[in-house]
Amino acid sequence: MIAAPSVKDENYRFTSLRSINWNEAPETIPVSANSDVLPLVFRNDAFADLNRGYAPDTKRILVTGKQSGTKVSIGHHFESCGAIYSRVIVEVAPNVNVTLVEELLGSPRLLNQVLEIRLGEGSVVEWVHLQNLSRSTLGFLRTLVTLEAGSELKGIISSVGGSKNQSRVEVCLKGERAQATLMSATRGIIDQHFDHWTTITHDAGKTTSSFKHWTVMGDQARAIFNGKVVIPAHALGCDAYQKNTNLLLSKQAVIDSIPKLEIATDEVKCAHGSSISPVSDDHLYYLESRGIDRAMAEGMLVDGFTEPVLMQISDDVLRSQIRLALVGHASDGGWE
Amino acid sequence: MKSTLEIKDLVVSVEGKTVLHGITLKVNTGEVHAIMGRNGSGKTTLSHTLMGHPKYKVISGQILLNGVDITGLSPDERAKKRIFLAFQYPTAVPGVSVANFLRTSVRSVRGDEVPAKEFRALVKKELAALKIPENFMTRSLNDGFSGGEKKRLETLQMKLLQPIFAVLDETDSGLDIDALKNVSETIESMRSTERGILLITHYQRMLNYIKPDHVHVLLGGRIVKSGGANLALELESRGYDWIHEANT
Ligand SMILES: Nc1ncnc2c1ncn2[C@@H]1O[C@H](COP(=O)(O)OP(=O)(O)OP(=O)(O)O)[C@@H](O)[C@H]1O
Ligand SMILES: [Mg+2]
Repeated sequence: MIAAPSVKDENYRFTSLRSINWNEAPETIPVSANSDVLPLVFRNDAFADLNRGYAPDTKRILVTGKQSGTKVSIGHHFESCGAIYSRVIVEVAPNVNVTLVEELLGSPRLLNQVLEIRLGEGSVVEWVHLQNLSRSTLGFLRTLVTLEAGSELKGIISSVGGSKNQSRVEVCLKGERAQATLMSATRGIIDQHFDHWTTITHDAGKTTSSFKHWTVMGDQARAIFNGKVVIPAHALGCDAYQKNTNLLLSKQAVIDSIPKLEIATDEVKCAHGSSISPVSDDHLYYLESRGIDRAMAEGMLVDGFTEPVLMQISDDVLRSQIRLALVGHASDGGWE
Repeated sequence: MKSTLEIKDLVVSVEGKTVLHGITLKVNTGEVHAIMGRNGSGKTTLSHTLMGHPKYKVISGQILLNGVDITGLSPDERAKKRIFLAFQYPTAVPGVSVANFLRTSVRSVRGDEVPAKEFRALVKKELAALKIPENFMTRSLNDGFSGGEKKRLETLQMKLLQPIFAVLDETDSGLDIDALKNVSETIESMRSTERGILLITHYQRMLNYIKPDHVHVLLGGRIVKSGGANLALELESRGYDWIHEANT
């Protein structure tokens, strides 16, 4: 039996767990037999423990040179069902260049996923994550990305679905000169809840990371961002950057950004910024001066808010697909 | 149909400071008026007030369109009445593509849907004429555009929206020599008996292409002198001191 965590546990300070039935029998997805141990970073994480208990089999995806330059789907469309425990490891071979498309769709009552993405030396990975589960799904996602020397990660993380979501993203830069550039777009309505924990660990010298979040919350939706950057004393010449840009659409919506730095060396360049921006009056006036009424102008600005994230997606079709999920229309104006 | 835009004794304040101290000016369709004046004399304040910028408060006076007071109208309502302002400093709007913006704007001002094909054809023609690369359509509005590129896009909007009254606030500034000619000729080609144009400029160079019917000098929030096209030439050679001295 796994002990249920309580809100006194720091990790669950923001996500009440009352609605979870801890002993619910899972409907595991069929996967190949493989008993991997959980990554160390997820020790003492009740959801990862549950995942180990209920999803002992691991789905392994090996990306080799043959798939270089292609899109590889690592996502799932889940049927409507009870609880799903899924464990996936994606291993990208050295020097391979690939786009990993992770779409989480469908309406399980609960999804507990542990995903590991391992970037081999010199590999270049664009990881496009879309969480567009039904608005009644409880989502607990644990993702670990490890980067070997000289590898490059571009992560584009979009979250729109789920009722109560808690997502941990751990990025570990293990080899020298590894680079991680991550951007997230989160859009919540009604009473959706997004609790995002991210930790970037610079475990080797000359590694760089940036993590920028764009968040739009309306109605009574709530988002929490715990962004941690860890740079131990042995990692010299690192560069880390984090930023939150938030947009609140109602008085009841809440966005909390909680940056945390654990930096042991002072040689490092590290920036940490946060900004909360309402829809700008200047932007509204410019659009209105062209005949666009206020409501329409506001809609355009809100929809455009997450465009900087979408612009990072290299594949046009994929970009349209994610835009459709985020703002409800695939095209940004119908020129293509 | 003949239209008039009439500004009557307009007093305007911004951020609690009175900037326009009673401006009176009447523009009829078919006329081009140039407004000149020193930095900070109130030219941009006048143009934003005409467009209905919420920060510029009309303390007294009126703006009449065909005799009807429009001071209470919002900017989009004025645009729908075919008043257009080319901004001195066009606003960058990240995340909104030029194509989406133009399409929504044209649809709003015309009051009906423009078929996608017709819209594309129309925009492509104007893009070519103003030498704006087509890939600008998918970029964020004015975001990272050079000064001259922004001015060309303002001109393109004027062409698409076909205003009855157009206020052009230093549309010539920031343009290179060829672009200045191109933009000026575009504006001149839009001169018509159906349209009134208010040109705000610091230099004669644009007025060489678009000869104004009237020239007004704005000083300290007042029109202190009006004349014909020759007044601009006189200002070019003599500067503003003589007018300033005559008014103090
Ligand atoms: N938003 C504002 N806040 C504070 N002061 C303002 C604002 N807008 C205008 N002003 C002031 O009002 C005066 C007139 O400004 P305006 O921009 O109208 O001048 P202008 O004639 O257009 O000048 P320029 O030739 O430099 O463009 C200036 O003193 C300016 O500082
Ligand atoms: Mg000005």
